[in-house]
Amino acid sequence: MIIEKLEAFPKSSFTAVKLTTRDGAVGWGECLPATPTAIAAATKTLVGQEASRYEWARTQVHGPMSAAVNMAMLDICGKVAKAPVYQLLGGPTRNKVRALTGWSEKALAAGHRAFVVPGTYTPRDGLDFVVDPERKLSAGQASSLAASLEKSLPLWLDEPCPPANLGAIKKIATESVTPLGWGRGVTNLSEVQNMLREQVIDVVRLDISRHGISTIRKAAALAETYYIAVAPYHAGGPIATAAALHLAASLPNFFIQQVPLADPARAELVGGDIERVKDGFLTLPTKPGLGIEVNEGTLRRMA
Amino acid sequence: MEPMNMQRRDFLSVGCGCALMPQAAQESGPLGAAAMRSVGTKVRITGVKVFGVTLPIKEALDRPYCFVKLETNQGVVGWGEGTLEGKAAAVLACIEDFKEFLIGADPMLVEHHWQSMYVHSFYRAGPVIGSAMAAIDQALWDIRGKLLGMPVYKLLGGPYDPEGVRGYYHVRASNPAEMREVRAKAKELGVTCVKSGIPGYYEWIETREKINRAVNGMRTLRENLGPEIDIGIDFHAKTSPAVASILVKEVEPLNLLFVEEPCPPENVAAMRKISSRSTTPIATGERLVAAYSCRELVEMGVVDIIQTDINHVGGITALWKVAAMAEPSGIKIAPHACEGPIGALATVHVDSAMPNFLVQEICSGVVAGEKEKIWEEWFGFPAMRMVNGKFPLPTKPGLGFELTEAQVKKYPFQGTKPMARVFHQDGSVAAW
Repeated sequence: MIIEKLEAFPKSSFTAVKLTTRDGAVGWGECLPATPTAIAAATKTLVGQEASRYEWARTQVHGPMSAAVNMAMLDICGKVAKAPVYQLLGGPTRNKVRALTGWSEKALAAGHRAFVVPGTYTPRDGLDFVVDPERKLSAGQASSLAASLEKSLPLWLDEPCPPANLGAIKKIATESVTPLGWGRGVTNLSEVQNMLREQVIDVVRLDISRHGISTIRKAAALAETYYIAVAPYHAGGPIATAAALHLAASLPNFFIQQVPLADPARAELVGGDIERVKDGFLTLPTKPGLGIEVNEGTLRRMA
Repeated sequence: MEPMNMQRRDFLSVGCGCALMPQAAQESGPLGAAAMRSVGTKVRITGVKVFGVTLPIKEALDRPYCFVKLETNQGVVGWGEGTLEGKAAAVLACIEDFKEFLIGADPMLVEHHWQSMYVHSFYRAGPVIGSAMAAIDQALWDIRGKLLGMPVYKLLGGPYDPEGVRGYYHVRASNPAEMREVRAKAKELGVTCVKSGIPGYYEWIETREKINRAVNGMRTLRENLGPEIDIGIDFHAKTSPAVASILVKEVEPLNLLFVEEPCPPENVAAMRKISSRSTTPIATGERLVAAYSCRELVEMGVVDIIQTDINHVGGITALWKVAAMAEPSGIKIAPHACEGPIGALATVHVDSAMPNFLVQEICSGVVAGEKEKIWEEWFGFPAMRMVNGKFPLPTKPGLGFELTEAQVKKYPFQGTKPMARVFHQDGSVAAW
């Protein structure tokens, strides 16, 4: 299980990473677009290391590359153990995974029941909505929006403004009962701990492509004692979707997984329709590791 | 009882009257008893008997009663209860573990024994130790009251309300017609308060459909029970702070007496976040052990009502302390009671002496069922049934009842049975 090689595949919206061990085991991961410098640094760190040392790697590989490396190392561990990653992590904690995606009639027809919308919306029976203003508001505007949303009962209001100033966002959490989600841009778990301690957060939204499986799992352990849910953010490729499914199946306080809308090209890339949704839920992978077969030819051809 | 009361001056004499005391060397008591010998009485605990009691009733199967009977060298016995739902065998064993604390000891030193059981357990009490201590504490108070010839509530300074202790029954009505029947029956009986719950299980964040269903359920209950009956709603800690915060705010216009356990009990700040954004009174505490566990709730001004359970918090001694601690903060006490009749009857004594008492629970309906029949058969009076909306106060000394071993042995222990185990639609663990 000694890592021999790290190959990166920079794409327009994500970077895929392939780790190969001396005995030929292969692990795949994915992260937000990584710089050549970051890729080189990760390679230098990891080559020659035992693939099970993903906790050590968490402290040595920085930035988004840490997410890709974490997924790939766990993929290798699972394949060597001939077990899905969630079994390595003490799961499964559930038999299917609730899904969230961007609103469209097409997504509704595809089986989605929970949707992200950019602002106020008209509630519809049987459907649920997350309002995501993409940080475009001030804290004061966000508080007004949160109050005006109370009667619509959205699942939560996500990242309405930049969360850096806890004092400012505390106002939103104090003035209404609309649940608040934060975390996609967080770079350090201590930021999540601060949010939990200051009671400004109801949904932890770390990004699977920025934070990887293990870091979000730790954030979930922190959040559990505050009775706070985890719903990872995800706008990347399908390798990260596989990682997110294993993460969901290893958490007790998981609520919902954001997932891009399934399409044939994404399915082809990972050798299966893992993003297909039935009545609002994704299916748990069952094969060893991340449970996907990355099609390298397809990966090389894509933009 | 009467002959003993006449002689009680004798056996209650303190140790300094050496002639009245057995020789120290002849006494084989625990170390603590020896330490207190010079100031104690001549009464000695001679027997500790535990009884697991499984009533053949579906609702009681997960909570076999854990009873203890303490015997003394004066013939006086005391009964206590430490029923812990889903963990009966553990509590029975834990009471046995305390045997060495008790045999040969003076039962009058109830606070001393409480401190010894708590402090000398080293691992400060969780629910198993707390419930075992509760059983022993109640039995010690029962003995005390009997030896002193007074009902326990009088020893505690009661009655605050001579008519009794205001109570509430549970409502399990699923439709408006049934709710109106409850209203009529409550009016007929003079019952002024009831409690109900919210349907289903709740995820960390909830859908609009589930939130609307819960709110509509509470609204329908208020509409059909009318404005005169006080209503408590038990969320049973099955909601997260995010979900509970929405619900308690939505139901503000219903003027509920309280919403109970809007989130689990381990995080007081989380509870405060819920209570700080709504005017609906918040109650919690049935799972807490010892007054220590209520300190933050009181200190941080988190809740309006504390509901510690006499069978888990650590008996009469501990429940009284929780009430004392809550009083200067204007917090009311509404003790939980959903186990057997001994603990429930013991609670009524403590309630009766609390200036800040609100209302006493009993897990029974407005119409008595199988369980209540067995209780009446045991005690010879309808235990924990209200008269004119209040639980009557006993008149006999101690906890105010007689019970024989044969009566409880009629329902032998069938072993520990787990409480309900429920799961969400994705198979993950749900709270109920």
